[in-house]
Amino acid sequence: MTTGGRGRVGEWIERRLAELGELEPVSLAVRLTCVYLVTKPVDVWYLKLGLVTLGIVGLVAPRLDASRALWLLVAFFAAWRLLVERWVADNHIYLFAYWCLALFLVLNVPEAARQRALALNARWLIGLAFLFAVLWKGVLSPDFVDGRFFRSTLLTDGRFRDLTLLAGGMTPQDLQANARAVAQVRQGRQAEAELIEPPRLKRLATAITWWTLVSEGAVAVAFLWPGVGRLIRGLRHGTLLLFAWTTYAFATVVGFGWLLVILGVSQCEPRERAMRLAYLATFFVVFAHQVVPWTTNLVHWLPR
Amino acid sequence: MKSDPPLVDSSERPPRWAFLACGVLVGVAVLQIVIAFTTELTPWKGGGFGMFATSDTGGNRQVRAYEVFDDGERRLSLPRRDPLRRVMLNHPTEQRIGAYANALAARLERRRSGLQAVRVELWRASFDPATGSYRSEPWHEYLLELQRPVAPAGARK
Repeated sequence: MTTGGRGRVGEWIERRLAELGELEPVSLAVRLTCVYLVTKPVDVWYLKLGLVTLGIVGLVAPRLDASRALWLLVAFFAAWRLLVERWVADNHIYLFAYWCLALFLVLNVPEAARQRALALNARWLIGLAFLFAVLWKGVLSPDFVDGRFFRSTLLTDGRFRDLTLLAGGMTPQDLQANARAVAQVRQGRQAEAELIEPPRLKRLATAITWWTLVSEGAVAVAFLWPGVGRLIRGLRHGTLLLFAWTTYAFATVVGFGWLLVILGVSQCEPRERAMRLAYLATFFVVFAHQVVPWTTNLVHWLPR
Repeated sequence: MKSDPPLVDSSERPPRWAFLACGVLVGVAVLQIVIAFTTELTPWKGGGFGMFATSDTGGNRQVRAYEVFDDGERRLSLPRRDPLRRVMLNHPTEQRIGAYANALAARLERRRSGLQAVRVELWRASFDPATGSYRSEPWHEYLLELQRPVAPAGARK
């Protein structure tokens, strides 16, 4: 590629980034939410049809993306989904429904107060969600603070396989033996099975337990703190992005990760371009964490 | 308490109804805590943000079912992707276990002769930190006796 070609590409990227930086927060929020609608799976076919169709309409018809009617329908379908799946839906399905309701209400607020309503809704939804998460982990749960939950999870939940191999002192053979033992117990072939648990895994479980409590607690405090200054705004963005980067590298829950990014970026004014770009990069990174098996590759590459 | 400055060049305050979603979040989360403590709802579900807070998840709850005949019982192979089963494991109630047993019976009655009853067991697995072992314990049991036991194959018209 010639220097001129690189120049044109560079200019094109710069123009696109400038356009992105100039997008009104409401426009950015609804567009990203439409991406979420189109790409996240819904089990019930008629709800999937409704939500995906509305997301596509929002993406391909820019004049409709901030239409009150569109977001009333999205909020309606999201609420219907919650009613149908209320005992099996993950937490982010609930948070998504609240966000859709918030977007619809924000679009009904007079223009002059709209961006502020959007930012405050996003801020409080994040703060409250993390407050309840910390309440469950730190106070209500009988087995989180003492480290039992993460010990059990690292040993029995396949989603944390790479983390236990990378930092828990386990070998693939240990993991296989544990998985077999767990399957035997769950299938009722034996009542009890002793699991292989290296001392390093106990230390890892303790570290994750406290990191989770501290990082989630920091997000809750930062977002619910009624501060107005640059410092508290920086803390909000910093704690949320740090949580997203550290959590979704291992817990590949794209739905929750994306939603937090959408709520986070909705609090950025157009002039906070760098922060907006950091959130948009995180949107991509959360997705990349799921499709690129980097931790698995790391496990293979690292000398044992 | 100071409030946030406006994000745009206006000081207009949004109306309170614009924050209804935050109120709904708090209401549902408080209700979920009450339901989780008064019934057997797993803290992971119900909108209370209790995911990754406890090992008492739907994944650590198992269902086993048996078809009961005059001469004994046989364990059934159960489909994993069954919505009724998912709801029952996350929030088991007598009514839901009964409905699950009824659904199994309805499926079996068409092809099993001599079927007397359907028995459903729920088990709960947990990790014992003292011994480092994983174990499963019986938790609920439900026996659905069929009012008109299915006649042996030879007696059927």
